[in-house]
Amino acid sequence: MRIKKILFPFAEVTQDELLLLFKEKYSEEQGFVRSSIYWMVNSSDVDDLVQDTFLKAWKNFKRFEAKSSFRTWIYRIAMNVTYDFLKKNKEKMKEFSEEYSESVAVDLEMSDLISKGLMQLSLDHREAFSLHYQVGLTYSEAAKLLNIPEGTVKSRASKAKINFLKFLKENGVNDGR
Amino acid sequence: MDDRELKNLLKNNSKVPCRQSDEWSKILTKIESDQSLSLFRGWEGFKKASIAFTTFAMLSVIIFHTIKPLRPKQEIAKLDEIDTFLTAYSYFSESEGEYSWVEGL
Repeated sequence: MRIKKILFPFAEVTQDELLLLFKEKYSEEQGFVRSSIYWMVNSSDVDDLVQDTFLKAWKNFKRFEAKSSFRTWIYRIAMNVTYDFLKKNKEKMKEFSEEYSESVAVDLEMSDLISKGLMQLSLDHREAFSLHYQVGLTYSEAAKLLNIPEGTVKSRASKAKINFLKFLKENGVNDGR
Repeated sequence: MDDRELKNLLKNNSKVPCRQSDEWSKILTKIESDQSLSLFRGWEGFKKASIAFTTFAMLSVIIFHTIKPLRPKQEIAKLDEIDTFLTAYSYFSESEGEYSWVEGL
């Protein structure tokens, strides 16, 4: 397909070729999309949300222009899907968070504590924190994805880190031990 | 805890659920069902719908003109009877002789 594109740059891409290209992009970015969504919702609904994201992306894939990278584009779609989900399931997420709060005192694995700690953060802070500390993006990369200044990402991630560590400390975790 | 330690802590204790092995097939199924639904959506869909409608209309006209409408035998017999009555036993042709005296008055 790439060869065809080089030889015939204005040739129309067939549906099958487009789908093949889309599958390639899916394979490259599905892991990133999955983690990004999961760190925001912390629920088993992540599978549905990933599928919804790629379905929405496919609907607009013909119109996708390589002005921004595919990752940036798909990330924005993923976050739209995620925020819609969080809005629709506000009550459910609240209940989940409260359930978690009650069980913290008993005994939780570190991974559960981390999930709980993330859910305590505001959405903006959680997003910046996840992208930088969990997905491992630089501040500059995260800023491009979020379409906000780098300084804002730094500030959000830093405030989130303070709150997150405070939460871990309150639950008996000191310096990750 | 510095940034590196925090990243390590998160990395070692993260549990993002694994991708389902049939995730792509599920997406593909949704794409296909969505495409079949959106067959008649948008400009392309409008063109397709127009072609489909024109074809249907033309076929309907051809069928209407080539195939004679099927009617029950009784109805045809009744129609034949009326036809015969109107042409052969009409009032004026039948009664012409009987009332010819009117002219003579």
